[in-house]
Amino acid sequence: MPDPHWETLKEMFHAALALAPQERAAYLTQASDGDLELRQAVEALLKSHEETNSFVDTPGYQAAAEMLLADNDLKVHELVSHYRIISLLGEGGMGKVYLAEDTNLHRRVALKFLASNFTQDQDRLHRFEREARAASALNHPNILTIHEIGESGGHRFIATEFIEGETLRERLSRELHNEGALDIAIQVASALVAAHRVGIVHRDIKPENIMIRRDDGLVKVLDFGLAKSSRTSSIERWKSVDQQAPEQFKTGPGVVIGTVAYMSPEQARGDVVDARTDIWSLGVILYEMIAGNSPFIAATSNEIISAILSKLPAPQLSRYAHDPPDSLEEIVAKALAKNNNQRYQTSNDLLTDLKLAKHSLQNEASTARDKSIDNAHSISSAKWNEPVSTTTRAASSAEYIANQVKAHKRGAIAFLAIVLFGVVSGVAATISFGWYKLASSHRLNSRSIAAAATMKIKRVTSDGQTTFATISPDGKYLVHVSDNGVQQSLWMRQVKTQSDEKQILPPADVRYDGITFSPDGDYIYYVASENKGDATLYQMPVLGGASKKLIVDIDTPVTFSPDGRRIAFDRGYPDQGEDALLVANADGTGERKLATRKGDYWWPAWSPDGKIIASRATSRGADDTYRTVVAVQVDDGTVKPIGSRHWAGIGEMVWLRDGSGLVMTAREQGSEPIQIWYLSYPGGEAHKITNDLDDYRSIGLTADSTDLVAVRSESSSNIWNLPHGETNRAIQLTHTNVDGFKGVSWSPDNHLVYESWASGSSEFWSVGLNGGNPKQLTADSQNDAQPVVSPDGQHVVFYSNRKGHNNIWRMDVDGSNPLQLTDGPGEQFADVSPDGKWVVFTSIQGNGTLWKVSIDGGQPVQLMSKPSSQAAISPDGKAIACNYMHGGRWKVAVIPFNGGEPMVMFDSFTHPNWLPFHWTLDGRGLAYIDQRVPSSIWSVPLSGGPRKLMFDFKSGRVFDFAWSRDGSQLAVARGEVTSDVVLISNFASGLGGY
Amino acid sequence: MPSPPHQVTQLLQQWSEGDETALAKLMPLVHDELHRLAHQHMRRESAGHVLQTSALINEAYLRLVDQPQIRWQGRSHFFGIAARLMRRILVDDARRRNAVKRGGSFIQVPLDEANTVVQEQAANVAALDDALQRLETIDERQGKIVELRFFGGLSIEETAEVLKVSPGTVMRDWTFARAWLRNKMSCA
Repeated sequence: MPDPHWETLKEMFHAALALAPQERAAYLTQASDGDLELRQAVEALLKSHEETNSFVDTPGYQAAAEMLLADNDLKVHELVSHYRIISLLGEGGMGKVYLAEDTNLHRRVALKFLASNFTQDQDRLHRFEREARAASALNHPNILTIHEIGESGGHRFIATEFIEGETLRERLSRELHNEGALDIAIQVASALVAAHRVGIVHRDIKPENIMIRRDDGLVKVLDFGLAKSSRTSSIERWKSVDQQAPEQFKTGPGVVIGTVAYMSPEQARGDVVDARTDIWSLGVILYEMIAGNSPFIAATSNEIISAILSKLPAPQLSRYAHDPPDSLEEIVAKALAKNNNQRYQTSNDLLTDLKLAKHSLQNEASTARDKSIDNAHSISSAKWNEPVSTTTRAASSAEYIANQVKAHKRGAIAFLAIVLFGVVSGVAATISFGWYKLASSHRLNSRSIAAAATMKIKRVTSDGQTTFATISPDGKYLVHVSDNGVQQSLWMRQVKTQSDEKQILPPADVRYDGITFSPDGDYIYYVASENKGDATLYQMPVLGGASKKLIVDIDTPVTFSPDGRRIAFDRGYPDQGEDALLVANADGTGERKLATRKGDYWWPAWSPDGKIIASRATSRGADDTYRTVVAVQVDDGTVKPIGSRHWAGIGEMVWLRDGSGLVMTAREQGSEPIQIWYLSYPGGEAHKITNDLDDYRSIGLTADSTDLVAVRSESSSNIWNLPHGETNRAIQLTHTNVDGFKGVSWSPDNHLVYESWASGSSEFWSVGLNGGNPKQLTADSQNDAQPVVSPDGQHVVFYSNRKGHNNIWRMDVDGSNPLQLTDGPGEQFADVSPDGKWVVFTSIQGNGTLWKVSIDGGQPVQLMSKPSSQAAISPDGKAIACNYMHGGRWKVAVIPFNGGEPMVMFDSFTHPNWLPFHWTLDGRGLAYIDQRVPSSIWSVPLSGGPRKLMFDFKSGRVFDFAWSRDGSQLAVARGEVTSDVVLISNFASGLGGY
Repeated sequence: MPSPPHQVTQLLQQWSEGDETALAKLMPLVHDELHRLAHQHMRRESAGHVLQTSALINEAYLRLVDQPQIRWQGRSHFFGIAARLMRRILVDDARRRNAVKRGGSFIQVPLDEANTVVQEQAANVAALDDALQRLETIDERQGKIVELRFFGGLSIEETAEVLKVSPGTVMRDWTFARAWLRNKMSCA
């Protein structure tokens, strides 16, 4: 039954439509006959009729297509590329996200598919891919790792690491303490530092983009590089909506209000944004975490934006939060400065302030808790707080040397020298020191804990070449070793004046591995090793004078008895396979063995009461080897453990003056940076004092335990490709600063397989000629090193400690099908013969010698009986170049492929850092890295004759290089290694007033 | 895997005869087939080409419906059923999508503020269906016209043929309905 009103409406509508627009008003007045409602209804319809681009005008199948194509309902077990779908995680703005298994690497990943409307917009897609590739180079613990950007069946997807946890948005629904809030903010800031450093701005930092891992609270920032494309459109949309019809903004489906709240003023204005926009957003988040609500509260997006843009600052935190610390109030105020020139200028500045705030908060908390403080494991995620690029670790060669040299009895000192000083001796450029409370010491009181904040750290040297440092007992003099890459020199300066630095031993082809002041401060005792013979202990008057040789064959620095009359040190006896802890008179006479042990060395520290000598010790568990600290009784040589803590490595240690504990360098995992630790005595409770990603070595303490010196190191390496070896055409292939320390190798199709620390352990990655989108090949969290792609491109041969020891392994070039080729006590440095049949490697068995094994595994064959290592097989497969011990000196020798006497010998060009070397393409010479800084690559002909410069780099060090098989590409892993002395003053007060 | 055509044909026929349980069985079949085809098209066409969805839908029907077995009351009946089916599928899909969108948080799926075109379309489809349901109660023929034109993708002439009215009438009704729907949707 027709509705009369409806019929009238239709009639008037069509009648009006038939008229010219200017005649319609008159008609409507007449036809509606005073029925205002009717008239308005027709007018509204006429107005709607004039609208274009209404949804109704596009056929429904358009919407259908968009929706259907966006729908990528993958089935469980369905295979997309090499990912097997496990379940649908959810649906985000850009498309669906699945949980999937990487069938190559057997790990879980999140697969994010891009909606089709996204991929159909070419500009948007290109922008996305460019940014995502840039973001995928961001390897930082606090940034969600992008494994791959791929395409399958017409669908673009991103494979990222899978995190189980919740978003900060969800976390915000529960109460968050100030300390927890700071912890999250610090981790987000760390991520920003890493991204901003390489010029990537997130632009969309908000609680929805921040994940908190369930297990350990590790924070991950999502969608770096993805934000730009979507955000741009949202702003454009917002602007257009706003101009046309402000009211729609409230209800329009296109905008979610939550996001607007984190926009910076410049973003809201649609201006160009930079890194400071992320700082603003983090400021809003920090505010929200502490106050419980956003600083800009309003009913509508427009009002929020108006609040963001307005001159008024955000309301004081104290308005919402109970007694927020002043430092937090200040940080928030500075992060939320409307004018970005008044804001924090860099995320690093913000990070530093956040850390300081957290530190003072912890001190306050400790003070409040007073004496009954439980074990200080309260700093769980602190180790992630540093940007990854400051990661420092021992380089490949360092670890190699460790075993290498140990095998040849250069013994303990060289081992320490390398593991702890290593090639990668670095710098401490950024002052961002993570001091953490030593709260659990039973002797601490609230006063002394508060004093921890008074510890100050200062960088004392700046040449970046320091390998070793110590301080005189009275704290007046600093002695340090400078290393230009090949030669070392010894320097002394007055701590107070900072000037007056004098060279006390000129650069020489010597390695100084231990400097100790005598307790009276009159002499320095140093251990020097040259490329021959045994290391020697010398004594030198501090105020000038000649060095006196005291002891030949010494394998650690010496430690003095408290009265200064005796010294203790380690000496290895390779024939017996044992090391002895020796005690001698301070003039080097009267040696006696205090204790011996097999297969492990001592690194002694004599206690202030003279009764015990502490040392590191190695123990073997069921599956692994670890270090502990032991005390040797000076009177009878019995050994007792100090505490039960395990470490992966322990360096040197010094006693606190009152004997209440030790300060030492150590790391818990082989892959972690070496940090300064405190170990109480006799309790044996251990606490990390520093907490960052730098390495610390070579600690020295003043007699009153007030000041401590240490060498702090930082290293970086990225991979460059030089097409046809032209340095001026170099393309940077990787950007994480931790790429290629442990090897690079080309596949026949010119993909570069390289080692990288990007994921937090030494893994292999692969990258194409243009860089970008590096693909992770291994993910075993172990130490995978020195990849060599087989000549047929099928396999990658490498060494790894997956089974505890270093062994030679093989895998398919995509990372699948790992196969263990050797299972001895330690095998490293593989090379593959040109026919692809043999793998030549170095075994620590038999004093470190070359062996070979079939590429399919089986019984290895020993090639050399004399000490030899680091094989490089000639292009014709007939010869091997290697390090070779001859006449007590390391040489580089060329031997027949199946072993035998050297055909050619060179003075070692790999000493002292044992960097890899390779054959020249024509097989007529060897190419190696000149380790001086800046590094260069040289070739030396087998036929004799002078060496020739091949590649000269303007700066930095080269860690490895590799030619592609066809010679058209040269990959070079290069970067910086800097290390400098830092002086930590008021150290004792920090430890609790010892 | 494509469904056996005769099964779909049979279900379509049952549904057209008023058996709603047939629709429940029919929808997943058609839905899957549409997806499959859509993806196949995506693979064939390089990115940047807008998919010709009318072709897609035609193809879907042709594949799904075992043509020789059709014993419909003519072609127009088929189109009418097809449009209805399409509407059900699309609207269902859209409402499901909207529900997901509002559903809160997902592990590592930040809810992006940039409501994608897809989500807007989903919201639009749902809004249109709401408005259309109202229109149908007021003016059944206009409702039918919108269903055939919008969801079925039929031309004015084809719509006229299905409804057994003149193209002029369809045009008039379509013009009015469109204005009315636009008006309704913008006030929603």
